[in-house]
Amino acid sequence: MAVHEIEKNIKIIDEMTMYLFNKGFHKLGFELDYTSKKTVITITVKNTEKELVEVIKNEIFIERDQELEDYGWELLGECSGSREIMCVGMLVDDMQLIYKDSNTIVTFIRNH
Amino acid sequence: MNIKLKQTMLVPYIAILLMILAFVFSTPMDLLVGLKEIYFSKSNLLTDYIQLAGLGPTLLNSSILVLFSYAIVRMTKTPISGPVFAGLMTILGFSFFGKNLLNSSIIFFGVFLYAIYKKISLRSVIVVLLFSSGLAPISSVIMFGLELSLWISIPLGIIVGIFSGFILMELAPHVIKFHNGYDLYNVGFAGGILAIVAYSFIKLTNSTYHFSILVNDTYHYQLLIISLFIVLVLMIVGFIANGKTLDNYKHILKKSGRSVTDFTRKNREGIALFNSGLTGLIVITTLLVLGIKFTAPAFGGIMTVIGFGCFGKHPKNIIPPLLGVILVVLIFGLDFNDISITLAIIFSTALAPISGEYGIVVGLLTGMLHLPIVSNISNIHGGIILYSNGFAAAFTAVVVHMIMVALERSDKPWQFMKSKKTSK
Repeated sequence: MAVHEIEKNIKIIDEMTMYLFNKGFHKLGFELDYTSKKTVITITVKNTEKELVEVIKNEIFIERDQELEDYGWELLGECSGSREIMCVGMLVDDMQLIYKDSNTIVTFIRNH
Repeated sequence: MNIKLKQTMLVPYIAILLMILAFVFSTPMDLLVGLKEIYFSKSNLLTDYIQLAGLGPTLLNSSILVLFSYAIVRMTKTPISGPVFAGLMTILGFSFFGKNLLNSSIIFFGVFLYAIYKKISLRSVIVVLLFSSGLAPISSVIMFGLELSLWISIPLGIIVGIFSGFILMELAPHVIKFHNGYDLYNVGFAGGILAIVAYSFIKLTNSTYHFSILVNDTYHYQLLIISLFIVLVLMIVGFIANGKTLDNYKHILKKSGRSVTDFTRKNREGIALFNSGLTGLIVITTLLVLGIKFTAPAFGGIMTVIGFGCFGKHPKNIIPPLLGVILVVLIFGLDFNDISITLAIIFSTALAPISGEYGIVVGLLTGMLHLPIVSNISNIHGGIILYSNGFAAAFTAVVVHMIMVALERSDKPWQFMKSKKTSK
């Protein structure tokens, strides 16, 4: 397990909240499932169009980057002005995107 | 065909080239004597190793330290990603003026100790480890710069160095929030804080320490040719590795470069390498146009810019701050060949993310603000941190960023799709 594990999970939620909120999505739901093996973070963006799935897919590139993780994780969710969402993809192992009943559901899996 | 470069990014080959050149410029005996001079110097900012020991030993020192650092990276099974490339090239550059195997390995050991203590993988500390050697003079100054008995100074220098590396690993990720990633030399800021503490103690307990500036421009042409050769090789190899196309270069130029932007992600190491070469070439051309002589610190600065060409810098975001510094120099009639001005021009590119995020005008003004700040900052850290510009850039970045945040209107949020300004 890496250092600051719990803080990093919270920061992922911070970053996604900032990202989605700044894009005008103001109805969000969160779920965090933390176990000794992995953390699963589920974010539900309510009342969206399917287009958001493609946008998130294009903007978040999933490739866990262990060496950058402990260097830059504290920046997550810190900069409201930035147009870019860079760090989340470096901190997670997998992302699933589902569009269901006018909601976009983003699931991040982070192995410990 | 896209060639996989992530195992080397040409770094070991550049180091081997420097080693071969070392033997071209000096005899083996001169190299040994020169290395001894380098290892036992106080190595504070600015100690030009070429002035101290000659070109051959300086090249050999750089080569040895880069190969040693590269071996650590490979040992931890880390690919040469953007930040790792930046770290290795920064080591290559700064081992021309302040870093050597002796003082850097003490700091490295402190970072390793952090990983062991926290029971985390060595790979997760590798980025800070590579940049941590900016604080290497903390050991050298205590060991060889305070005129203490070696029985006291050597153990003290080692203990303080190891402790600094240990603390730096916790401090660097934490202080990145101060400037929000707009200063690319974040470890310079973290290291600068520790350097202030160390220098304050040194001043309190020892009045013999003075930080002096040693610079030699005798090898202008040799250093110019070596740097031109490196940038051209990076551009050519990068271009070939990218399938002999520059189609995806726009993806890099679109990035603000704010930390932590790794240009090698998505298998873009070829185009990232090309960008590194081109970014370096722009800085070399700027120095030549301004009639600046190539010295060890200037060469070191160029290598650092090349390194960060994979980790945040590109032609579009470095030119505005660079021009900003030049403008201030022209307005106040300062000397471009003053080494602190030369370094301020080169290292103002640490603020590239500001122009990447807020545009040319803000980038230019940021560069103008950077020069006066960096000119005064070495008095508070006493040259114990090599990344003086990186330390100063954090203050410039936070001022400019806060001004921009203050000017931002809440009714004009950033939007990526005009049709989705509000939720339904």
